[in-house]
Amino acid sequence: MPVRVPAAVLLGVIALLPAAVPGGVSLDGARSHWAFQAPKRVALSGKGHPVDELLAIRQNEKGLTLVPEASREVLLRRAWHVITGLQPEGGILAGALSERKGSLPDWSARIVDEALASPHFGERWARHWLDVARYADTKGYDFTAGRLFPFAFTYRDWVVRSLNEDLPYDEFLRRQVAADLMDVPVREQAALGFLTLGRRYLNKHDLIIADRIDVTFRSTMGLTMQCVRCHDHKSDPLTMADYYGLYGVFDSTEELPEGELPVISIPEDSPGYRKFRDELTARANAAHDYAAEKIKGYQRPSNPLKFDRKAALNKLNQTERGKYRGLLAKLDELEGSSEFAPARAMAVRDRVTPREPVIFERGQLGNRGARVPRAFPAFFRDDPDRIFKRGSGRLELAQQLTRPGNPLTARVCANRVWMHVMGSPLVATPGDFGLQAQEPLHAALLDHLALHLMEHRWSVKALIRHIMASRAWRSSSVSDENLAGNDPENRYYARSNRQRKDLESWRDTTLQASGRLDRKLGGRPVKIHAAPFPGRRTIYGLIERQNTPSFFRIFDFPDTSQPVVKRVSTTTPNQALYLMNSPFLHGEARATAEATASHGGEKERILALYQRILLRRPSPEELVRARVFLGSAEQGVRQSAGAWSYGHGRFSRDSQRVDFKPLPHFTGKAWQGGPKLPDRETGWVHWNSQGGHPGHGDHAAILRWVAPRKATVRISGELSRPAGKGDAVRGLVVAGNEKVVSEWTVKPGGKVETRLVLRVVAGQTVDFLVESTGDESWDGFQWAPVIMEEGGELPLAEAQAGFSGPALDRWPLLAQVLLLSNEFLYVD
Amino acid sequence: MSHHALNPRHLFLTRRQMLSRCGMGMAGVALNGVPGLVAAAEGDGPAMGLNPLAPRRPQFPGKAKAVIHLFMNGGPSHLDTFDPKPELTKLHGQELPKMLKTERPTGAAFKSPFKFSRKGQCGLEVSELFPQVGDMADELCVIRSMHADVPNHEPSLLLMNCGDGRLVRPAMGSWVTYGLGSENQNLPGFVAMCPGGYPIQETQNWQSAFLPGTFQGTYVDTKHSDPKKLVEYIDRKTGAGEQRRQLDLLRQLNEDHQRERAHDSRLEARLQSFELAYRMQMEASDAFDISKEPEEIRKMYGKGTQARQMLITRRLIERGVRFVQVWHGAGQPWDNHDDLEKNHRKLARECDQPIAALLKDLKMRGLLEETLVMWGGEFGRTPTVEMPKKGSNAGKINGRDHNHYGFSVWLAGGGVKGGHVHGSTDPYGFQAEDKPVHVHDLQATILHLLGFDHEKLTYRYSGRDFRLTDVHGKVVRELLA
Repeated sequence: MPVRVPAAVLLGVIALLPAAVPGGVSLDGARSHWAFQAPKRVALSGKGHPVDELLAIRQNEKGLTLVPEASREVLLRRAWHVITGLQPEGGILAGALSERKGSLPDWSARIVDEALASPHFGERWARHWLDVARYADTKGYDFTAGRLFPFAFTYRDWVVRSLNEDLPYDEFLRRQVAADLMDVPVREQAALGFLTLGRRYLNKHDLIIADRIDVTFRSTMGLTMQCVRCHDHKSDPLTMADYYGLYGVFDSTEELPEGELPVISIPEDSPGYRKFRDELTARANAAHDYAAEKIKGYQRPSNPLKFDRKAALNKLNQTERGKYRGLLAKLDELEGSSEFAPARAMAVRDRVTPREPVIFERGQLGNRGARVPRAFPAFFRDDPDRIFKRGSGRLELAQQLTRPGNPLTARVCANRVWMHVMGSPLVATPGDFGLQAQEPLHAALLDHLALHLMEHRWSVKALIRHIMASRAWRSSSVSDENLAGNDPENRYYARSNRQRKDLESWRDTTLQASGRLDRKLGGRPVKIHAAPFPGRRTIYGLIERQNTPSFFRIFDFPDTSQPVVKRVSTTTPNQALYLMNSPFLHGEARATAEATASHGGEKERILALYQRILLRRPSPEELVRARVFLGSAEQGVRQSAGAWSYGHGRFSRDSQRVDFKPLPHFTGKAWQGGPKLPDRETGWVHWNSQGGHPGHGDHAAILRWVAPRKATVRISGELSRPAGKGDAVRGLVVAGNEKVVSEWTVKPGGKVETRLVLRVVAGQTVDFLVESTGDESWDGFQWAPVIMEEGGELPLAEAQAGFSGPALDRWPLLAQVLLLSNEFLYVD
Repeated sequence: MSHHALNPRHLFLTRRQMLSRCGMGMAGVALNGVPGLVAAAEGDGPAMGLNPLAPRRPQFPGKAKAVIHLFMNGGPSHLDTFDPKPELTKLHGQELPKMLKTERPTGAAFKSPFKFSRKGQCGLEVSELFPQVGDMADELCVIRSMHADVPNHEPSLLLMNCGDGRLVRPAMGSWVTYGLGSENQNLPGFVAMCPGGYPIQETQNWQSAFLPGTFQGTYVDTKHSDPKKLVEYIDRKTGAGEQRRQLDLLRQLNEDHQRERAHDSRLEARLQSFELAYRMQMEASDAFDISKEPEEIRKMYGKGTQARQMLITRRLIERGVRFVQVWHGAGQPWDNHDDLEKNHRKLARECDQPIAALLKDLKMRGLLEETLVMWGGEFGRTPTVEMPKKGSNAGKINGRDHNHYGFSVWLAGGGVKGGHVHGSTDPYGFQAEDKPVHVHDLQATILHLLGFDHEKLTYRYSGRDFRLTDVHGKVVRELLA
């Protein structure tokens, strides 16, 4: 698309600006601000790539020479990191490295195209946008309603799909602001999640609108509208009239009630789907029944899933409303949580009658000032007299944001794309292009990129491809003395930036190494930070706005209360602790090691580990070190990583001995005989953090603790059998593998305190056995003993808190070291 | 302040080395020199990568080096603790000449059921609820003229903690660790302790908001007594010997990698972070393990959760943690709309001895001079009795409603006057009257005591320089020793 409105027109606009000048801001300053000018085309010699030619202007001034190009191996890893956030693997890796025909630029273009065609491109780049869109799956602090947005994920999936389909960026923006007012398929209304899934601020209307104005302007034009809520902008040409003009737009927009959100996809017919429909209908009928009981002449709709909630609520008294809402909430909850529920768009619509905004003086609701029209901020209008005329004005707002004459939208986008490809932005404040933003060193390059975006139908993929075709992108990231001294920050791009994997690419590539990565696209969010640590890509993790789990915070996941254009990146001991001690990483190390177990010889297996994790062969020295490390590691002497062992077996009344056999399989939550219960040999025997289940006959469940030192210990706990059916279980404590020190029988539904005092010596075992009496059905029990040292304040051991999975064996220990390496985390 | 197992400065490059070797931008200088004088750029990546918690000098020498904030969440009644009102007693049961609108309807004057007596050399009047804290009167600087903005918990908590009642802003502890770093690299710089769960507004009370996540408060549930449960992932699941050998192999791998990649200090910083974490496993378990305290010290603090968390607080401060916030309990325990006498008595009994012991203990160790202790809630309570209201109280007519017009907070140590009373409320204790101190003024004063001009401790975000006190706040000089 050609650019139709060059600088002359923009200047014309400015000359026509209304007299309403924002307080304290020099309009001349604003008019001449670099970012408010239309992008300028620079004459290029045509020799070489335009990006290189434009970078060379500054590089030559500074007398810097480019470092050599990086190797194919490095470029391949770099391309896949930038484009997909994954490592190249298998066929792609082998294919790219064996296909060395043609020049390096041609080869490089091929691998870039291949990566851009991968559906994982959309996942990587959607995450960049979701930071800006302050995406989360929950509402934030809000105790009036459920915390979860049941359909936030449809917005996330819309972003992924739009990027994969290379939806033109201007259209991408317009749909997020006004899809409901555009001639597009219903499913595109998922885009409106951009507006609706912000923080709820205890449902304070003015703050929800403030959030929508802020995200809209910061993400598209790099303008900060926050301050203008209470006073005219101190540095930018933005006024309170501008703010409340936009306030009127969003105040004239309303969210659809949860039950009326447009359905954008219906799952295929299946027994699960039918069951869901039946349950949903039952819950809907319960609400209708209640309404019919309380409201005279209540009309039941022919389709029970149709509701006129407002009408019904208006006819109920306060107590009844609460009850009725509760019944509706049950309906919504099922719709929001069932995997068989149709997906819906978190859409908005215009109010029937638009609201006429007034200025709230000092930002105080109710402190009403002058009336203002709904309109685009005056300084940036294409016509000073143009105010919004159609409905809320949201579609006109979307059009103004993306009109070709808007000097900011394409620039802001181009700067972000450059930042994500090259590792640092051209404009140092990518979230602020206002008057405080300094003109970038490579201003001509930024203009070139912005024009490229607009002239190639706003294609983000084309822009990425364009940047990655440059010599600058192919440069090595190794600095030299000259560059380190003259351009330590790499502002001149005479070399590439070494990029550190962010939370998502670090976790996703870890899952790749272990072979656990689930490549399914889209769907409801999952708790990736908790056992059993699903292998979905990180972008599908449940994002909790309030009380964000520490896993996210530790690795610099951005705040979801407000748009974040550039993440911070920290290196902290908390990250190291997570990597050293977390069940997640231990699980990955174990899975990675297991994935190489088929390699018979030690050397072959080491090679396979290096290949999986670091995509290369170890050097001869590294091979020797790995072998020494493996040789000196303790063999797997311990079953679990903690103080307790989990087993099955029997207590022989004759020999007074415990025959303890460790349970071989750990599910992530329980120890048991094999991956499936009942196990062929051990039956239902298992232990989890709270208790377990005995098997039949000789397969009592046994929890074993080994005393670390000589002590008198006080054991407490409660043995209970929650199920009311079946027969009793018997609990025994056997000390030192020789005598029963206590014994209890617990009937179905019963419980008993298990207290006793024992003298133990170092190394002595204390076994907690649970036997089935009669049939083992329904014999599930809870028993998590706590062992205190006499006189001590802290427990020596606690079965529940101290529950742990297996200790790492020597191969996983080695795999973990490689996963922790800088080479794995940093992309050259 | 105290000895450290290691000097973090030796682990990282000096500032000059950093500037020459890795070319820190201005933002790097800001963080490693005087924060705020040069604002950190938005989302500044590499600069933050270099140990953002390294200790830093403030803008000018401050008296206080660390802060303990004892948060009596729910709003303790100033009228029943540190602000005696004989006039209110006289008018008991009658209508007050002055009524102010609070969250809920209130009725007649409601005298304090507690006796006040003069304490310490200074003769500070303290109620019978806090006999042992009262014994420390000569250390206390009581502000009787505090006021906030609204009579509701949520905004008032956020105002007290983050300087803004409605928008998402960094907590004071985050600002302070951003400004000063922390003296101990083996522990979090900002710790928020609350037994049994979260206060209302939950983690927002210690959020870092737009400041880097490393400045966020680390939440510790002091209901637990096992140190391993207090800090996440501190529990080593690999034998110490095995882990050491892992880290040695990792070091070799990383050093080979670094050799070919000169001039990238991030690589060295990450290598060091593993060594720090390795040591932290020892130190953190130690810091939270109060069983290592001698018997007489444990006796001094007493028994129970409050005693445990106050003692942990001292151990953390002693080890160089910059900001410790201690909440009384989950939810809002001090919010006594009903049964004020019974509940306030119970709550005060839980924390009186531990708080007094903390003050004594800090003083004994010479730590009180450089540690600012602050006690208070998000607001105070009405001098009038709360009237029954369906759905919000039990209607017992023996409690008080929220009061943001006037309440008390006390400070101790850290460069404030001891045995001092500042300002006053009206004769009934409804509203700050003489020398009113707004929450922003208190925050400005706290930053001043730490060596910061509150107007200059800023962070550039979203095109604007943000600060704790927004566009408000005045240092209350009369409080300074």
